[in-house]
Amino acid sequence: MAPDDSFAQPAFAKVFLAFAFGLALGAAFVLPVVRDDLAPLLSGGSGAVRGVLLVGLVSIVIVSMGLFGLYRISH
Amino acid sequence: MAIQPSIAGSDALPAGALQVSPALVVLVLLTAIVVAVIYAYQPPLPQTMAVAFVPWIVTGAILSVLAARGQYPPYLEPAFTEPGAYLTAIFVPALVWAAMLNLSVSKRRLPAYHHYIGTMGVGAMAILWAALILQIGSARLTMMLVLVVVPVMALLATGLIALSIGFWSPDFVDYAAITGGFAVFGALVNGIATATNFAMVGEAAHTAFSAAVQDVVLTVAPGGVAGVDATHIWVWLFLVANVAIGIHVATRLAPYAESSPRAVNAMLGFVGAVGFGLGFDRLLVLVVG
Repeated sequence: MAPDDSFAQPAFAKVFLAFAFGLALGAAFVLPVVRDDLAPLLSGGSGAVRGVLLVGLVSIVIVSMGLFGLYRISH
Repeated sequence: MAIQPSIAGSDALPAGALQVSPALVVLVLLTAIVVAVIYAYQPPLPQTMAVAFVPWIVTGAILSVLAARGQYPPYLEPAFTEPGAYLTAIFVPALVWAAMLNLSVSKRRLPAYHHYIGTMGVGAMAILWAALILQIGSARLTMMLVLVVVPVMALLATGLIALSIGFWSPDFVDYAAITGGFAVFGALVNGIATATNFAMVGEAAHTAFSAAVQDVVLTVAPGGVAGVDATHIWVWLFLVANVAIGIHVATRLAPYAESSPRAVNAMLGFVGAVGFGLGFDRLLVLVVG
Protein backbone atom coordinates (compact mmCIF):
# COMPACT_ATOMS: atom_id res chain seq x y z
CA MET A 1 0.00 0.00 0.00
CA ALA A 2 1.10 3.52 -0.64
CA PRO A 3 3.18 4.94 2.25
CA ASP A 4 1.22 8.18 2.26
CA ASP A 5 -2.47 7.70 2.95
CA SER A 6 -3.49 11.04 1.51
CA PHE A 7 -5.38 11.08 -1.74
CA ALA A 8 -4.25 12.60 -5.00
CA GLN A 9 -6.38 15.45 -6.29
CA PRO A 10 -8.86 13.82 -8.70
CA ALA A 11 -8.38 14.96 -12.29
CA PHE A 12 -11.49 16.48 -13.82
CA ALA A 13 -11.09 14.44 -17.01
CA LYS A 14 -10.92 11.21 -15.01
CA VAL A 15 -13.99 12.14 -12.98
CA PHE A 16 -15.86 12.89 -16.19
CA LEU A 17 -14.68 9.56 -17.60
CA ALA A 18 -15.98 7.81 -14.47
CA PHE A 19 -19.35 9.49 -15.02
CA ALA A 20 -19.41 8.39 -18.67
CA PHE A 21 -18.49 4.86 -17.57
CA GLY A 22 -21.37 4.98 -15.10
CA LEU A 23 -23.76 6.07 -17.86
CA ALA A 24 -22.58 3.19 -20.06
CA LEU A 25 -22.92 0.74 -17.17
CA GLY A 26 -26.43 1.99 -16.40
CA ALA A 27 -27.35 1.66 -20.07
CA ALA A 28 -26.05 -1.92 -20.09
CA PHE A 29 -28.13 -2.68 -16.98
CA VAL A 30 -31.38 -1.36 -18.40
CA LEU A 31 -31.01 -2.32 -22.05
CA PRO A 32 -33.10 -5.51 -21.69
CA VAL A 33 -35.81 -3.45 -19.99
CA VAL A 34 -36.03 -0.48 -22.36
CA ARG A 35 -35.32 -2.36 -25.60
CA ASP A 36 -39.02 -2.59 -26.40
CA ASP A 37 -39.54 1.11 -25.63
CA LEU A 38 -36.60 2.10 -27.80
CA ALA A 39 -37.67 -0.02 -30.76
CA PRO A 40 -40.36 2.43 -31.97
CA LEU A 41 -37.86 5.28 -31.79
CA LEU A 42 -35.22 3.41 -33.73
CA SER A 43 -37.76 2.61 -36.42
CA GLY A 44 -38.75 6.28 -36.63
CA GLY A 45 -41.85 5.65 -34.50
CA SER A 46 -44.23 7.80 -32.50
CA GLY A 47 -43.52 11.39 -31.54
CA ALA A 48 -44.65 10.83 -27.94
CA VAL A 49 -41.99 8.22 -27.23
CA ARG A 50 -39.38 10.31 -28.99
CA GLY A 51 -40.45 13.35 -26.92
CA VAL A 52 -40.13 11.49 -23.61
CA LEU A 53 -36.72 10.15 -24.57
CA LEU A 54 -35.48 13.56 -25.68
CA VAL A 55 -36.71 15.17 -22.46
CA GLY A 56 -34.96 12.42 -20.50
CA LEU A 57 -31.70 12.87 -22.39
CA VAL A 58 -31.79 16.67 -22.09
CA SER A 59 -32.55 16.32 -18.34
CA ILE A 60 -29.57 14.02 -17.87
CA VAL A 61 -27.31 16.43 -19.78
CA ILE A 62 -28.52 19.47 -17.78
CA VAL A 63 -28.25 17.75 -14.40
CA SER A 64 -24.83 16.34 -15.32
CA MET A 65 -23.52 19.74 -16.39
CA GLY A 66 -24.85 21.26 -13.16
CA LEU A 67 -23.18 18.59 -11.05
CA PHE A 68 -19.87 18.99 -12.84
CA GLY A 69 -20.14 22.76 -12.58
CA LEU A 70 -20.53 22.42 -8.82
CA TYR A 71 -17.65 19.97 -8.74
CA ARG A 72 -15.36 22.38 -10.62
CA ILE A 73 -16.32 25.24 -8.30
CA SER A 74 -15.69 23.18 -5.17
CA HIS A 75 -12.29 21.93 -6.38
CA MET B 1 -36.99 -18.59 7.06
CA ALA B 2 -36.07 -21.75 5.18
CA ILE B 3 -33.40 -21.48 2.49
CA GLN B 4 -33.68 -23.94 -0.35
CA PRO B 5 -31.51 -24.20 -3.46
CA SER B 6 -33.44 -24.18 -6.71
CA ILE B 7 -33.23 -23.07 -10.32
CA ALA B 8 -34.78 -19.59 -10.59
CA GLY B 9 -38.44 -19.73 -11.39
CA SER B 10 -38.50 -23.47 -12.03
CA ASP B 11 -40.28 -24.94 -9.02
CA ALA B 12 -42.71 -23.87 -6.36
CA LEU B 13 -41.35 -23.30 -2.87
CA PRO B 14 -43.16 -23.33 0.45
CA ALA B 15 -44.33 -19.95 1.73
CA GLY B 16 -41.56 -18.01 3.42
CA ALA B 17 -38.75 -19.92 1.72
CA LEU B 18 -35.93 -17.86 0.23
CA GLN B 19 -35.17 -18.94 -3.31
CA VAL B 20 -31.42 -19.34 -3.81
CA SER B 21 -30.32 -19.81 -7.39
CA PRO B 22 -26.80 -20.94 -8.39
CA ALA B 23 -26.24 -17.57 -10.10
CA LEU B 24 -27.00 -15.80 -6.83
CA VAL B 25 -24.53 -18.00 -4.97
CA VAL B 26 -21.86 -17.15 -7.57
CA LEU B 27 -22.65 -13.45 -7.18
CA VAL B 28 -22.35 -13.71 -3.39
CA LEU B 29 -19.01 -15.49 -3.70
CA LEU B 30 -17.65 -12.97 -6.22
CA THR B 31 -18.73 -10.07 -4.03
CA ALA B 32 -17.17 -11.70 -0.98
CA ILE B 33 -13.89 -12.22 -2.86
CA VAL B 34 -13.76 -8.59 -4.04
CA VAL B 35 -14.56 -7.31 -0.54
CA ALA B 36 -11.84 -9.58 0.87
CA VAL B 37 -9.35 -8.20 -1.67
CA ILE B 38 -10.23 -4.63 -0.65
CA TYR B 39 -9.88 -5.58 3.02
CA ALA B 40 -6.48 -7.12 2.34
CA TYR B 41 -5.20 -3.80 1.00
CA GLN B 42 -6.31 -2.08 4.25
CA PRO B 43 -7.12 1.11 2.36
CA PRO B 44 -7.89 4.38 4.13
CA LEU B 45 -11.64 4.84 4.38
CA PRO B 46 -12.62 8.51 4.21
CA GLN B 47 -15.97 9.53 5.66
CA THR B 48 -17.21 10.56 2.21
CA MET B 49 -16.98 6.94 1.06
CA ALA B 50 -20.41 6.40 2.64
CA VAL B 51 -21.83 9.18 0.46
CA ALA B 52 -20.17 7.67 -2.62
CA PHE B 53 -22.23 4.51 -2.17
CA VAL B 54 -25.59 6.33 -1.97
CA PRO B 55 -26.17 6.38 -5.76
CA TRP B 56 -25.28 2.68 -5.85
CA ILE B 57 -27.91 1.92 -3.18
CA VAL B 58 -30.47 3.79 -5.29
CA THR B 59 -29.23 1.88 -8.35
CA GLY B 60 -29.81 -1.43 -6.56
CA ALA B 61 -33.32 -0.42 -5.51
CA ILE B 62 -34.32 0.67 -9.02
CA LEU B 63 -32.80 -2.46 -10.57
CA SER B 64 -34.87 -4.66 -8.27
CA VAL B 65 -38.05 -2.75 -9.16
CA LEU B 66 -37.34 -2.99 -12.89
CA ALA B 67 -36.62 -6.70 -12.57
CA ALA B 68 -39.82 -7.24 -10.59
CA ARG B 69 -41.73 -5.99 -13.61
CA GLY B 70 -40.48 -9.08 -15.42
CA GLN B 71 -38.37 -7.49 -18.13
CA TYR B 72 -35.10 -9.35 -17.73
CA PRO B 73 -34.31 -12.68 -19.42
CA PRO B 74 -34.51 -15.58 -16.91
CA TYR B 75 -30.74 -16.11 -16.88
CA LEU B 76 -30.16 -12.48 -15.82
CA GLU B 77 -32.96 -12.29 -13.25
CA PRO B 78 -30.96 -13.50 -10.21
CA ALA B 79 -28.51 -10.60 -10.68
CA PHE B 80 -31.24 -7.98 -10.82
CA THR B 81 -33.98 -9.17 -8.47
CA GLU B 82 -33.66 -8.74 -4.70
CA PRO B 83 -31.25 -9.46 -3.07
CA GLY B 84 -29.15 -9.93 -6.23
CA ALA B 85 -29.77 -6.33 -7.35
CA TYR B 86 -28.10 -4.96 -4.23
CA LEU B 87 -25.23 -7.42 -4.57
CA THR B 88 -24.72 -6.29 -8.17
CA ALA B 89 -24.82 -2.68 -7.00
CA ILE B 90 -22.12 -3.47 -4.43
CA PHE B 91 -20.04 -5.75 -6.62
CA VAL B 92 -19.50 -3.24 -9.46
CA PRO B 93 -18.12 -0.33 -7.41
CA ALA B 94 -16.21 -2.76 -5.17
CA LEU B 95 -14.55 -4.24 -8.25
CA VAL B 96 -13.60 -0.76 -9.46
CA TRP B 97 -12.29 0.06 -5.99
CA ALA B 98 -10.19 -3.12 -5.86
CA ALA B 99 -8.81 -2.44 -9.34
CA MET B 100 -7.84 1.12 -8.39
CA LEU B 101 -6.11 -0.12 -5.24
CA ASN B 102 -4.25 -2.74 -7.23
CA LEU B 103 -3.09 -0.23 -9.81
CA SER B 104 -1.90 2.24 -7.20
CA VAL B 105 0.19 -0.12 -5.08
CA SER B 106 3.50 1.38 -6.19
CA LYS B 107 2.28 4.96 -6.17
CA ARG B 108 3.01 7.38 -3.37
CA ARG B 109 -0.49 8.82 -3.25
CA LEU B 110 -3.79 7.00 -3.66
CA PRO B 111 -6.33 7.95 -6.29
CA ALA B 112 -9.42 9.57 -4.79
CA TYR B 113 -11.47 6.44 -5.33
CA HIS B 114 -14.43 7.77 -3.37
CA HIS B 115 -14.80 10.55 -5.97
CA TYR B 116 -14.65 8.15 -8.89
CA ILE B 117 -16.96 5.54 -7.35
CA GLY B 118 -19.52 8.18 -6.39
CA THR B 119 -19.44 9.87 -9.80
CA MET B 120 -19.75 6.55 -11.58
CA GLY B 121 -22.73 5.72 -9.40
CA VAL B 122 -24.40 9.02 -10.27
CA GLY B 123 -24.03 8.17 -13.98
CA ALA B 124 -25.52 4.70 -13.56
CA MET B 125 -28.30 6.08 -11.37
CA ALA B 126 -29.22 8.76 -13.94
CA ILE B 127 -29.77 6.15 -16.65
CA LEU B 128 -31.77 3.94 -14.27
CA TRP B 129 -34.04 6.84 -13.31
CA ALA B 130 -34.68 7.50 -17.00
CA ALA B 131 -35.47 3.82 -17.57
CA LEU B 132 -37.79 3.78 -14.56
CA ILE B 133 -39.68 6.83 -15.82
CA LEU B 134 -40.02 5.18 -19.23
CA GLN B 135 -41.34 2.04 -17.56
CA ILE B 136 -43.94 3.52 -15.27
CA GLY B 137 -45.14 6.18 -17.73
CA SER B 138 -46.58 9.57 -16.88
CA ALA B 139 -49.37 8.31 -14.58
CA ARG B 140 -47.16 8.04 -11.49
CA LEU B 141 -44.67 10.80 -12.23
CA THR B 142 -46.15 13.10 -9.57
CA MET B 143 -45.90 10.35 -6.95
CA MET B 144 -42.24 9.93 -7.83
CA LEU B 145 -41.65 13.31 -6.22
CA VAL B 146 -41.97 11.42 -2.92
CA LEU B 147 -38.66 9.74 -3.76
CA VAL B 148 -36.99 13.14 -3.93
CA VAL B 149 -38.91 15.00 -1.22
CA VAL B 150 -38.47 12.39 1.54
CA PRO B 151 -34.66 12.11 1.24
CA VAL B 152 -34.30 15.90 0.92
CA MET B 153 -36.46 16.49 4.02
CA ALA B 154 -34.54 13.77 5.85
CA LEU B 155 -31.27 15.43 4.81
CA LEU B 156 -32.39 18.81 6.17
CA ALA B 157 -33.59 17.22 9.40
CA THR B 158 -30.29 15.32 9.68
CA GLY B 159 -28.38 18.59 9.34
CA LEU B 160 -30.30 20.11 12.23
CA ILE B 161 -29.95 16.96 14.33
CA ALA B 162 -26.21 16.78 13.63
CA LEU B 163 -25.81 20.40 14.67
CA SER B 164 -27.63 19.74 17.93
CA ILE B 165 -25.54 16.60 18.60
CA GLY B 166 -22.47 18.80 18.34
CA PHE B 167 -23.50 20.61 21.53
CA TRP B 168 -23.00 17.51 23.70
CA SER B 169 -20.79 15.21 21.61
CA PRO B 170 -17.75 17.04 20.21
CA ASP B 171 -16.26 13.74 18.98
CA PHE B 172 -19.21 13.36 16.63
CA VAL B 173 -18.45 16.70 14.99
CA ASP B 174 -14.68 16.26 15.00
CA TYR B 175 -14.34 12.69 13.74
CA ALA B 176 -17.63 11.28 12.45
CA ALA B 177 -19.80 14.15 11.26
CA ILE B 178 -20.42 12.70 7.79
CA THR B 179 -20.62 8.99 8.58
CA GLY B 180 -22.51 9.65 11.84
CA GLY B 181 -24.86 11.99 10.00
CA PHE B 182 -25.31 9.31 7.35
CA ALA B 183 -26.31 6.79 10.03
CA VAL B 184 -28.91 9.24 11.38
CA PHE B 185 -30.06 10.02 7.83
CA GLY B 186 -30.53 6.32 7.08
CA ALA B 187 -32.53 5.79 10.27
CA LEU B 188 -34.69 8.80 9.44
CA VAL B 189 -35.42 7.71 5.85
CA ASN B 190 -36.23 4.21 7.07
CA GLY B 191 -38.58 5.56 9.72
CA ILE B 192 -40.37 7.93 7.33
CA ALA B 193 -40.69 5.19 4.70
CA THR B 194 -42.21 2.75 7.19
CA ALA B 195 -44.65 5.37 8.48
CA THR B 196 -45.60 6.38 4.92
CA ASN B 197 -46.07 2.76 3.96
CA PHE B 198 -48.29 2.25 6.98
CA ALA B 199 -50.41 5.26 6.01
CA MET B 200 -50.86 3.97 2.46
CA VAL B 201 -50.99 0.19 2.89
CA GLY B 202 -52.13 -0.28 6.49
CA GLU B 203 -51.20 -3.01 8.95
CA ALA B 204 -49.45 -5.08 6.27
CA ALA B 205 -46.66 -2.48 6.12
CA HIS B 206 -45.59 -3.05 9.72
CA THR B 207 -42.03 -4.02 10.56
CA ALA B 208 -41.32 -5.87 13.82
CA PHE B 209 -40.08 -2.63 15.39
CA SER B 210 -43.00 -0.46 14.24
CA ALA B 211 -45.46 -3.11 15.44
CA ALA B 212 -43.74 -3.17 18.84
CA VAL B 213 -43.92 0.63 19.15
CA GLN B 214 -47.58 0.58 18.15
CA ASP B 215 -48.32 -2.14 20.73
CA VAL B 216 -46.66 -0.10 23.48
CA VAL B 217 -48.62 3.05 22.60
CA LEU B 218 -51.93 1.20 22.28
CA THR B 219 -51.31 -0.43 25.68
CA VAL B 220 -50.28 2.75 27.49
CA ALA B 221 -52.60 5.25 25.80
CA PRO B 222 -55.22 3.46 23.72
CA GLY B 223 -57.39 6.57 23.43
CA GLY B 224 -54.56 8.97 22.69
CA VAL B 225 -53.20 11.82 24.82
CA ALA B 226 -54.39 15.45 25.00
CA GLY B 227 -56.59 15.18 21.94
CA VAL B 228 -53.89 13.50 19.81
CA ASP B 229 -55.02 10.05 18.68
CA ALA B 230 -52.94 6.92 19.31
CA THR B 231 -51.96 6.49 15.65
CA HIS B 232 -50.32 9.92 15.50
CA ILE B 233 -48.54 9.24 18.77
CA TRP B 234 -47.06 5.89 17.78
CA VAL B 235 -45.99 7.14 14.32
CA TRP B 236 -44.13 10.10 15.81
CA LEU B 237 -42.75 7.94 18.61
CA PHE B 238 -41.57 5.44 16.02
CA LEU B 239 -39.79 8.19 14.06
CA VAL B 240 -38.19 9.55 17.21
CA ALA B 241 -37.14 6.04 18.27
CA ASN B 242 -35.53 5.43 14.86
CA VAL B 243 -33.59 8.68 15.03
CA ALA B 244 -32.63 7.99 18.64
CA ILE B 245 -31.13 4.64 17.63
CA GLY B 246 -29.17 6.34 14.83
CA ILE B 247 -27.93 9.06 17.20
CA HIS B 248 -27.03 6.51 19.87
CA VAL B 249 -24.99 4.38 17.48
CA ALA B 250 -23.26 7.44 15.97
CA THR B 251 -22.36 9.10 19.27
CA ARG B 252 -21.21 5.83 20.87
CA LEU B 253 -18.87 5.02 17.98
CA ALA B 254 -17.65 8.57 17.31
CA PRO B 255 -15.08 8.66 20.18
CA TYR B 256 -13.27 5.68 18.63
CA ALA B 257 -13.04 7.36 15.22
CA GLU B 258 -9.84 9.19 16.15
CA SER B 259 -7.91 5.98 16.89
CA SER B 260 -9.73 3.62 14.46
CA PRO B 261 -11.24 5.77 11.72
CA ARG B 262 -11.50 2.92 9.21
CA ALA B 263 -13.50 0.61 11.48
CA VAL B 264 -15.80 3.38 12.74
CA ASN B 265 -16.42 4.80 9.27
CA ALA B 266 -17.14 1.31 7.93
CA MET B 267 -19.60 0.53 10.74
CA LEU B 268 -21.42 3.86 10.59
CA GLY B 269 -21.49 3.71 6.79
CA PHE B 270 -22.97 0.22 6.96
CA VAL B 271 -25.64 1.28 9.45
CA GLY B 272 -26.56 4.28 7.30
CA ALA B 273 -26.56 2.24 4.09
CA VAL B 274 -28.86 -0.43 5.54
CA GLY B 275 -31.28 2.19 6.88
CA PHE B 276 -31.31 4.23 3.69
CA GLY B 277 -31.47 1.14 1.49
CA LEU B 278 -34.43 -0.38 3.33
CA GLY B 279 -36.26 2.94 3.47
CA PHE B 280 -35.69 3.89 -0.15
CA ASP B 281 -36.68 0.41 -1.31
CA ARG B 282 -39.97 0.67 0.61
CA LEU B 283 -40.69 4.10 -0.85
CA LEU B 284 -39.86 2.96 -4.36
CA VAL B 285 -42.13 -0.09 -4.14
CA LEU B 286 -44.88 2.12 -2.75
CA VAL B 287 -44.56 4.70 -5.54
CA VAL B 288 -44.04 2.37 -8.48
CA GLY B 289 -46.50 -0.24 -7.26
